Amino acid sequence: MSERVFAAGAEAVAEREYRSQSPAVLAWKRLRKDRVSLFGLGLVVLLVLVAVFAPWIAPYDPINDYNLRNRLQPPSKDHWLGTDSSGRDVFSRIVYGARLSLGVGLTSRIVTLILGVGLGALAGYFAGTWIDLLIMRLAEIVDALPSLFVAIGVAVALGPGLYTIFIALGLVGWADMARLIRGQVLQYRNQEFVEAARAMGSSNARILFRHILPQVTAPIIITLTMGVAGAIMAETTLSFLGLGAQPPAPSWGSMMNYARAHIYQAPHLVFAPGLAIFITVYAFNLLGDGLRDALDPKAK
Amino acid sequence: MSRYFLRRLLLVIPVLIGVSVFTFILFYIVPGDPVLIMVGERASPETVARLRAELGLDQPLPIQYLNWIGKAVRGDLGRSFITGRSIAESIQARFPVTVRLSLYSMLFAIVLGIPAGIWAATHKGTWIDGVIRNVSLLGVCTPVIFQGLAMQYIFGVWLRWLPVSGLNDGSWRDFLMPAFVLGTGIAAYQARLVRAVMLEVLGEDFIRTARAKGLSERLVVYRHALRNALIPIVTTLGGSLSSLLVGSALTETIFALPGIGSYTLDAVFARDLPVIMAMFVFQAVVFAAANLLIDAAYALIDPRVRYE
Repeated sequence: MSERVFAAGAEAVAEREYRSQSPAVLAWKRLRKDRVSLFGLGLVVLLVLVAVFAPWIAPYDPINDYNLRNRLQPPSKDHWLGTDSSGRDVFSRIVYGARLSLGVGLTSRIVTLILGVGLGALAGYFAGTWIDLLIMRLAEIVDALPSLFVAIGVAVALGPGLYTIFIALGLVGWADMARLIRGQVLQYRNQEFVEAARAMGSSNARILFRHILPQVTAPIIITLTMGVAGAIMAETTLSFLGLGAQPPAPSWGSMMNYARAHIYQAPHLVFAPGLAIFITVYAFNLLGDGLRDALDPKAK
Repeated sequence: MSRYFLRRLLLVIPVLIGVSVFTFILFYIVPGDPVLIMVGERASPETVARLRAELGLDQPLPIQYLNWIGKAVRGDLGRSFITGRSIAESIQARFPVTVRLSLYSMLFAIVLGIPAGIWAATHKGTWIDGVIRNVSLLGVCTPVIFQGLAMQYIFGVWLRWLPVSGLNDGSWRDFLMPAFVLGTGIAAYQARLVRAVMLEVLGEDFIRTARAKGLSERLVVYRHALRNALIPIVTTLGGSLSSLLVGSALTETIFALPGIGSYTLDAVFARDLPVIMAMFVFQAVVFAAANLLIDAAYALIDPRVRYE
């Protein structure tokens, strides 16, 4: 008899412990168990550190330190990845390139986030009204436009350069996120806690931001992470085409573009930035996959 | 059901209008006067004015737009500012190249991706599954540029097995590398998707029934599970086909194939407005048509699907 009481007591304690932990803590615990995702997280953290501490890691100046008598050298002790067509150290350029790629990836995703979440939440909350219809038609039009060309078009219209890329990439991706957020908001808006909040006199804005949106953070985080990978690939493409970061800025994409001309003599110029992009995108994808499993254990 | 499709067709029209208006506005913000680009800086003002009037560029914007629409509906897509060639002709010449590239790529994608996904699902947890999952993740993460350039170097320059670029004799050899690059990207994505979907379907009750009935595993997987998994698979395949048709501009540029993707890309860089307008709208049409076909395919595959 006392055993049963004891067991029941232990269960109650365990349950209280479980419930007292926030979803974030629980998710982190789940993430910790998945080795592959931890690897992805570690890699992402490493990349961020490389980007932040680039000036201390790179042995040479990536832009100004050029030497035309030392062009297109293969990897050596002085230049770990060799030199490019102006004699600049490739390793330093790759390290600084991390800054650019990660910066672009994150910033453009934030633009998409603001647009997508903002418009999607509006559309979902006011579903069925003209607001919803207008936003959804807009999203359809953006969808129908070939995204690469729109990005290129915006870049051509605004002139090449980094800020252009942020805007171009951000503009292109918001439709998917808006639709996702709209679906989620639709799910939650009829639930009781929303009714309760309204009964207490909360304004629409307050309900949206304080009550509904926090429920939606999980898919937002996942889409954001995967989106960074996509944004980095897109920035590569744009830089490769000559829009975006202009030479001599060390963008991985434009490095590959200029390496095309010398592919016979110095193939490493193509492989180095390509590999860097690949590793970065891979890391974010692993992290995104892991986050998806950790934040929503039902979806296996 | 045909009323549904009719309604879908009609809904495409506002989207097309939106696309063309957007394109029009976008390229009028672009700095650079096409007339000046065409005749050069040193032309006399009379020549410039004459050319402008000829091209209808001196009219107010909405009138220009309506002119364009009026001609486009009748099939006259105008002439390129740069080359002067009829755009409709160029499309006719170039679209088949893009179609061929898309079809070959889809072939790679289907042949490589779907069996891999099924295999991974049926051997879940074994090394086969692990290998397939990792390889497909690698495939998703490899940028097209990198893969394209790497293959060009290895197979074109180093081994000299395949032509590096260009539409040389029009044989399959010209398309092999670009189709492989595009196809493997899609295949990687497909493999992961097929695996996930098959796993979900294989966990359902009717599969248990089929096995309990004593059906061979092959029948269970291929006849019952796969059929039901087909819808999401066909959706994504269709989506990939749409994007391919809309022009794999990057691949066409890297491999110098004269398709509509590279055509549009060159036009965007050259600010060739008639071509840009025509191509954006053309691509929206192709995209919408492809989506409609996919939806029609659903009705064939899944008898439960009834459009109202």
